Amino acid sequence: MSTISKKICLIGDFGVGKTSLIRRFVERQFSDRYLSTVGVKISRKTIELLNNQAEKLNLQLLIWDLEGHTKFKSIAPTYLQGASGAAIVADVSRPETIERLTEHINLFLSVNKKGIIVVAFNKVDLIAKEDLAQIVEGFQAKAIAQVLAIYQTSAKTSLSVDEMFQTLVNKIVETGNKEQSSVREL
Amino acid sequence: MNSLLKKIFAPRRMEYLTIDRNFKITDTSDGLKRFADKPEEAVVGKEITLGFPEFFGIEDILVAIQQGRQADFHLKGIARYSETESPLYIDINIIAYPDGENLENRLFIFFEDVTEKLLLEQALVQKSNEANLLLSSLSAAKDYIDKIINSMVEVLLVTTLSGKIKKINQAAENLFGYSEAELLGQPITKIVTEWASEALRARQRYRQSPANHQPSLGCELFKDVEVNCQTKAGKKITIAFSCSTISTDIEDLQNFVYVGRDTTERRRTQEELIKTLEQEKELRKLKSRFISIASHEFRTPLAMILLSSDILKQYGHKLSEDKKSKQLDKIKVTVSNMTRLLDDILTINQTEAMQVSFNPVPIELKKFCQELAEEIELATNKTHDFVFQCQESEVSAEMDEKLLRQIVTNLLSNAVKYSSPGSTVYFDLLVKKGWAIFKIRDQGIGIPQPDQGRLFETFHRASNVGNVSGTGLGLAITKGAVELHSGTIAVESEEGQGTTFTVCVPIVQPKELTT
Ligand SMILES: Nc1nc2c(ncn2[C@@H]2O[C@H](COP(=O)(O)OP(=O)(O)OP(=O)(O)O)[C@@H](O)[C@H]2O)c(=O)[nH]1
Ligand SMILES: [Mg+2]
Repeated sequence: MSTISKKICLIGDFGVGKTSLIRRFVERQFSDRYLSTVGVKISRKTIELLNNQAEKLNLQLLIWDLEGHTKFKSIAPTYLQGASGAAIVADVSRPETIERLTEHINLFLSVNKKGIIVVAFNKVDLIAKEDLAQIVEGFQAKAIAQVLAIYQTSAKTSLSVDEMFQTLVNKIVETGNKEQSSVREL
Repeated sequence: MNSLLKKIFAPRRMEYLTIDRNFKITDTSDGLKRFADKPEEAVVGKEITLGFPEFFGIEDILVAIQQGRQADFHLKGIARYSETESPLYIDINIIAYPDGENLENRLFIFFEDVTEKLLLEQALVQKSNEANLLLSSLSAAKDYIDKIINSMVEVLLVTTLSGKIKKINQAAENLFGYSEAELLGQPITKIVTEWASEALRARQRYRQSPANHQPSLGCELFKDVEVNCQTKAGKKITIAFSCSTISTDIEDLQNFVYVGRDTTERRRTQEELIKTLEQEKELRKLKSRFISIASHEFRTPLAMILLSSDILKQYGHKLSEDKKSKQLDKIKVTVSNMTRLLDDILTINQTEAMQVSFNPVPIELKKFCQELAEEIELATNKTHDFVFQCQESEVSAEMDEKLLRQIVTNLLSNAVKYSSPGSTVYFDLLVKKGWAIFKIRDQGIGIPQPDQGRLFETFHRASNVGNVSGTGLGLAITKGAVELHSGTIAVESEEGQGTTFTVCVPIVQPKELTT
């Protein structure tokens, strides 16, 4: 069984739940405690997939949990090098984090022109359903073509977390197969 | 352990490795494994990405550096930790050095332990982010509360215990016409002109012993108490205020919160309703009095008419022409008396409902009064001596002739009616400071003290009138007519001595009343 690796990044403002989403996806856990990420933490998760020839293949996902964007420190583009995709995360209870989504999307695309993007409106468990519709609609109007999908997620209740990662991975593998992975040799 | 020893025995802060063109590790420093994600993979011959996942995806960059197209590449703050281990942070530096053997650049990758620095940074970032999250949720909460407060239909004011305004909402700005800035720091008395005593007492009680109230909860001091307020434009309005205390951000310090509704309109309609109800009640009373007086006053004349007509019918053929015409005259007089009574009643009805038209016209009072007095003297068969006096050569005035005639006629005929034949009726016309004064004095039976106060009420008749006929309407009509002229009427009387009525009317009607 062959193994391929792919790198994805989680990008967004501080405290929006990037670490929590990864933790939910990889470790199936959640904590209410907030521990700010500094620098970057790479998590691995292996996913079984079927390739074009219907052969089983292992996908090793390298998930980069980046330090959140703050007033004082923006996201370092070097971390984004070589990523196949990204989940751009906002906190539905903080409008300013939604406003900054586009900025993050553009940063990611500036490094990875063909990168695949999903957007997560996280912490939906904090907001009433009908209010949520209004918040999300407001953003969708401005959505960018490269955005594959928009998810309303909750790392706390695990709502749509797996679906979001799965969609991202599927698309990455699909486009990767088409492109014929380049020969890697110095 | 002293710090020098600590440094000597501490793990090295820097490690390195080199890789070949296939990204395989060709050389490592001794302590490298410590920095690997999977230490068992951090050995010569293995592909670098197995032990160091952060190199996955940057192969292009490695090639570029190796070929000299790019100077170097840094990855800072890579975390290596799991739940159980203490964290480790590393910085990675990739540089190319010329390799003597192959005439080709060799890639050196340096690893530096930056845990100490990053832990410090983490503590700072943590503090700063937590503070910012708190700030953002606070400002969101404040925003939300402000929106609620400003969308309230009710007026909201917050004051210090001494009454200095600290906050007002949009509704209050709209209602009072002040901007918030104009009212901040001002005493609440700037808008509340008069507190209801209930509100004053409740606040007083609170100020004297705030400890008796539960401060943290905030307590309601009064509810829906109407107080008088004034807008910036000076308009008077009534507001039903409820007042509670709230604790401020300073411990033990309380503020008052007032929430109020504008009840000016409600109160006005209420007052109007009461007035209408009272008018209605008055009208009902009037009607029932009318019915009783009518049944009483009309019965006698009707009986007389019936009697006379019976006589004419039954004995007509036997009666002399002279006697017949006497009976007919009787009927005629009685009918005309009844007509007068009806007229009076209609007039009083109109006056009370304020439906009498008032048309002041230029009039010479002296001539008018003199002629009217003579007319009445004749009409009452000269049973009394009439003495009319006026010092002026003429008195030009502006009055409603019809109403004035009613006033003077009523008073003169009363004077005749309630005094014995042969006595004198004095009628004086005076002018004083723009007022015409009509004084009518008789030497009659007078009016008992207790009746004098109610003299001008409809249907009220003095207790000593005996069997002198009257409707009790005359004086009420007179008073109504005087008041239409913005005048006054007064009575002075002593039983058995006589009565004096004094009517004062402005010679020229004030403009706003005539239009
Ligand atoms: N209610 C709720 N809370 C969440 C959710 N996701 C994350 N949180 C909480 O939000 C806080 C921040 O979560 P993190 O996952 O640390 O956020 P982050 O984006 O990694 O933050 P930085 O590392 O500072 O950029 C934590 O207290 C989490 O428990 C969610 O879906 N619902
Ligand atoms: Mg994080």
